[in-house]
Amino acid sequence: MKKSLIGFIIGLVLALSLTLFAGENPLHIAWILMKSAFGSSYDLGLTLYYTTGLIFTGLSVSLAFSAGLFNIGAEGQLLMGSIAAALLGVLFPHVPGFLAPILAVLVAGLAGALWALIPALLKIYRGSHEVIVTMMMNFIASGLTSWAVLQWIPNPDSQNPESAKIASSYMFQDIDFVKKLLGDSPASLALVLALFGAFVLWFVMKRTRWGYEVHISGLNPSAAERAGIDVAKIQIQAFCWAGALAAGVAVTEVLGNSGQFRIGFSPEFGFIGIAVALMARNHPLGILLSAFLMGALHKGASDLDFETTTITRDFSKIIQGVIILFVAVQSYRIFKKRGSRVS
Amino acid sequence: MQLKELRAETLDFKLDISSLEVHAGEILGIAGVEGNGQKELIQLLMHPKKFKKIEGHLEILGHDTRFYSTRALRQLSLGVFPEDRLRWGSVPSLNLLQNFILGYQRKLLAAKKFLPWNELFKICAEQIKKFNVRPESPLALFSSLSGGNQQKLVVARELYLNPNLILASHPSRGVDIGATEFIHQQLLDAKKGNAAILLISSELDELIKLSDRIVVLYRGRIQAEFSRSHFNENKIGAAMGGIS
Amino acid sequence: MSVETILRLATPLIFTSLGGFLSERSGVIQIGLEGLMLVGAFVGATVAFGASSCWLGWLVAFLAGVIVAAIYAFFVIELEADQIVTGTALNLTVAGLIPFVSKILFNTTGSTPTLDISNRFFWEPIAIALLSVVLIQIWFSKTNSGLWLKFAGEKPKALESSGVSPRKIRWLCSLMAGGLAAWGGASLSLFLASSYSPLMTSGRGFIALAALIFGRWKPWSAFLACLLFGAAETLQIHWQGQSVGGFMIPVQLIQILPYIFTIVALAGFVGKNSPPAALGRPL
Repeated sequence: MKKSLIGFIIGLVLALSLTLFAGENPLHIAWILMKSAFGSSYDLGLTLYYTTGLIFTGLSVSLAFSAGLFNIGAEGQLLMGSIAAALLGVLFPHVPGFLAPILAVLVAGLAGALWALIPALLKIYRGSHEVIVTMMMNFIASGLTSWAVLQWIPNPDSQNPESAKIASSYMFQDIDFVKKLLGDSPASLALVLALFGAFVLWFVMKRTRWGYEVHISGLNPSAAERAGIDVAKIQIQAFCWAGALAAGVAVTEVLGNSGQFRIGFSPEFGFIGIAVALMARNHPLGILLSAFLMGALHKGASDLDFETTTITRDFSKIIQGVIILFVAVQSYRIFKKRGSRVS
Repeated sequence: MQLKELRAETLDFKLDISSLEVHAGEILGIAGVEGNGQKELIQLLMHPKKFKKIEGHLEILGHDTRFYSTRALRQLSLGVFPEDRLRWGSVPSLNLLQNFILGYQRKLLAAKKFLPWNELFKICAEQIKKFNVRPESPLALFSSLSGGNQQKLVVARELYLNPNLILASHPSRGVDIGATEFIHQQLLDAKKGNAAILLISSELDELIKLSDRIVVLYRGRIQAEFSRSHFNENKIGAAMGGIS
Repeated sequence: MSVETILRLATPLIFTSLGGFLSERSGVIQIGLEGLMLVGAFVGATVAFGASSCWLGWLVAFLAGVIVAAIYAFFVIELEADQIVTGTALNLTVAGLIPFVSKILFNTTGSTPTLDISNRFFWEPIAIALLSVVLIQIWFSKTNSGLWLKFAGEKPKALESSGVSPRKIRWLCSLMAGGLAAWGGASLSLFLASSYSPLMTSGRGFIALAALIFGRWKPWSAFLACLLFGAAETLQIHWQGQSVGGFMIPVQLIQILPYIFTIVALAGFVGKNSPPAALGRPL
């Protein structure tokens, strides 16, 4: 994690120095990033909203990584989870208040898990590479959810590409102290759920037999099998849980923020989640920090559009790209130093 | 352990073993040029599910294991020295403790949903001491150990519960002389403790030194069998080349 | 829906798919096709505008693709960084850099200035694409050096022992892949449209990858797959907002057809589908 932080800082410095070419003062840009990410309680709330989403997708990518699988599909899984929650919330408005949010969380998680089950099964039983399959399934999820929103639950009061509002019983506004604390910003109680998720995953990976088996399956499947671990089963399970974790974004967005499915709502939570997991080196608690940094970066950069005349919000992508590169090369170094290759 | 009239096929190899039996208190050596079915024999014993077809009699510690999963096999009183410790027997990037419970995660001391790391740590530290693994810390990385110490840790793990059957393939491969001596002594001690031991090796010296009987494997079949009083390097060598 | 329309829409896919073919057959996964296309589209349009010459834009786009691919190749071949992770980083960085450069050059993060009709292609990219398919197919299946490509991705060790360096083959193919994918992007901005607009590739890099997989890593079949996916795109444009007997044609569902085809192909449900054996493995 320390090395990743150095990577983060190098990426930030590199990207900031680029702004010199645009005739900007890098320190000024850095100041705008800071101000925009943490300047007001609303800004902080928005930062935490992104953080929440990134914790979920970061955990998702990380769990799959631990099992030796690369989950490029968090984006699709979170879309399927979100559409499931939106469909439930719009089509079944009479579910009692205390039950509704819990039901919605479960349904969203289930949808994400099922969407992840497809590539997992194809990987194990047909040998199809999970990276390509999940990548394709992201596009499929995007098309399917757009279609489902406009076909089944379009918003009758608006021309925007979005769904109708879900019943208010699904939104846990009454008990949402996070939202109250941050002045009705997009942040919500989902943040607490994400934190809880990170701690649970940390505990599971560290202390349980299942976590141990996931770990071994990912690092050395042959040794895992010899040790009596059913690698196929473990990998399928881990990938489904990864899908369920990604679907946690539904809680942030659909239940905690907008109360509807807005087409294109995700600022590529799934992809930034890869950077988050890599930066945290798969440590569930490290993900909290890296998600916060990436969330702040994303929120900070979003104001560059109107705070400067030369730099745009896409700026954050440069930093993310450099960080990922840095981590990719570092893992190579560690690899070489140990001088051992795990098949 | 007993194999009789056993025919087993993977996609690219056929084992055809008329009779192979290891008794308690005995070391049975398997000789042969590599690639003549040693690897497949271990696979058959440990991963029967990977085989396309298994016909005949396959009995391990009184169980018909033709349809056993590896997990079920691991519940038996069984120790396995892997044919390639880095591939089949360890996770080099993890520490000794994590490597020590490999295979035990569903057995006895760890047969719980939550792994009792503190107790496991104590056991691991004791075994490390007993088997003279260097460095002595259970938290050292497996990959940082020398080949001999890596193998000693694997042996310490596999012998921890005093198994009734030991499948030892290439126990001294990539291991220094001192550690080799040590591991050989462990095998002889286990034999004295009435364990049945199947020893696969490509080193004829090692086989002759330790085995009570030697069976030569050639193209997936048993080419010849020698009892201790008839050990003869030339004859065994000839059998390994397919001449009987 | 004419053959010409399909060919036009398939052209960017064909170039990119061929690029992907070279890279992946030599053993290097190229997830960054999308980013390389964007580079080609942007550089092509910018140079063509600046120099009032689409041919110069076309040429420089290729070079730009080669340069970006060289950075990628350095990371994955020399430093042995994970290819998928590095490819993801490539896509992200490019998506971040282009608006930045565009803002500096044209003071806008939107489209580049519109090209004059005389500075655009009419049909030339189609011809180049078809020619490339034929040349690469012949090279791959009929020549000795085509065999090297196969071996670099299947059995690099064997190639090495026969005196040919798989490392060189991978480098060469990665660079060519960058240039071809950039042409894929340039044929968008210089041919199908008249300027670069943000994210104009809209996932075509991935569709090209899909076509390559659907075509089982063979140039000719990948070309046919590109035509098929080009036809799907034509249909989708054609049917946009139309209804048949009161039933709205679900455009989004036609959009996802290529991806579904690819997954079905990848799962090996239609014939055997196996990627190069050493794909993604460093030397």
